[in-house]
Amino acid sequence: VHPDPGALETALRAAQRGDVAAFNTLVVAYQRQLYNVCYRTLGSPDDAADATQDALLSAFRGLRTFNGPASGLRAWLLRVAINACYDHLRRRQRRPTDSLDALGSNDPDQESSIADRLADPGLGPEQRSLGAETARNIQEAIDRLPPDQRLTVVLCDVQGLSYDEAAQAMSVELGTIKSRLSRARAQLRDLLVEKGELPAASQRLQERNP
Amino acid sequence: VNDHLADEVLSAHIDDQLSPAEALSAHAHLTVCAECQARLEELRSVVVLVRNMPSLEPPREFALDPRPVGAPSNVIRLRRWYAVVRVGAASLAAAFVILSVGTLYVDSRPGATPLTAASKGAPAPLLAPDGVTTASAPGAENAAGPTAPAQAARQAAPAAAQAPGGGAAFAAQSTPAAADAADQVAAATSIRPLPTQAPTPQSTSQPFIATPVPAPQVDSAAPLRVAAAIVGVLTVVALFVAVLMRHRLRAAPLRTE
Repeated sequence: VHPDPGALETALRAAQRGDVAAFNTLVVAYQRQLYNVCYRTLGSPDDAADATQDALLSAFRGLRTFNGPASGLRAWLLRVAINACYDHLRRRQRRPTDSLDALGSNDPDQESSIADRLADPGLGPEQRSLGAETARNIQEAIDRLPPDQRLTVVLCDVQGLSYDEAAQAMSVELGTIKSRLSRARAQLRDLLVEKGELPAASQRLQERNP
Repeated sequence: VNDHLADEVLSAHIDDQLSPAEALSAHAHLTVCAECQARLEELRSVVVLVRNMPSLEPPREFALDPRPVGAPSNVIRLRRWYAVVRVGAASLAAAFVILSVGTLYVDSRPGATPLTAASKGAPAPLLAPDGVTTASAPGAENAAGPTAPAQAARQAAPAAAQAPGGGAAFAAQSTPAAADAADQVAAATSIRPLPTQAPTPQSTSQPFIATPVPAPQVDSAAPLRVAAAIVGVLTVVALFVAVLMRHRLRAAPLRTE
């Protein structure tokens, strides 16, 4: 849902003056995308919800530092969300029992809850066309990427951001996005071939060119 | 044919992010290299898979609750400064009252020079201690001194600045600026109710007056008067800033008090 630019600008300015109600209209407009970025990055619904809430809270507190036009708000909010995700990842690293791998295939509860969500009947038709099994395998592959590559692929391919917007959101150069994205895609290709999600022909090609 | 295309080139090619020259050479290579073509298709199918990842419904609403959020930093800062400015304005106002009373006390002592004092210190007493600026009309002083001779009142009215220093607590002092000494004496003695004051007000610009008061040239209240004037101006400024800040805070919808 893309909000009307004029209303967005008005809400942004009011929110910058501390109007929580105005900020909440921005929340409604962006929460789904922010949550999905956090979810794809963290791989856990609970962590994603926490990170989203943290991100929105710090976004509200720091909204005055955002002085660009409202069109740049999405990238700015995504950057705040990305920072919240990095914070969560760092916290996880400090707790070895709760590592990234534990959030992947080793945790049966986690797996089933993700599968339940993927089977959500509220999803659109083309989104449902991707099988729950396939979606889970892709998510697991994304989870195995290094954080920088993971975020880049989440922003560019899962969320469909342009290179420019992704560069803005991650505060890096355009070339960095380009190279991170290509490395992420290449690694995803290898992981998906491993999981049998890519055609067998590719697998044979992979064996020919290690 | 010798150099296969790098993953980065293939990846950028999928997103149309190659420069025209790069795109041209990539295209040239792809037409002759089945292997790179297969790699391109493979990478493209990865992108298609990832792009078709479902968008999930958030498990809850993330709207902020106004109460625990608290005010944003700018409002908190403004509120803090408002408190400082408010205390500052009150202190300045108190200092102004003390200085005004001090000035009037010094003026009222025997040997003081109220005429010079009043003409020099006109700006300061114009400010009442509560910060409200009052300028009395020339006609008002006629009412203050109803027993004054008509001639004195007439001469005093246009030129004098009336000073209701210290609010209503002090009797009005008339300041005739007329050159006629006799009229001055008449006006001053008839208007000023304080018996302790010199019967004949002195003006340093009138050297021909034989004065009964010894050494009246020194204006002992001058420093006080200057200080009162400065503090008075600062008080008004501080009050103005405080009012502005309060207005700004009212405009901000978050008030946690």
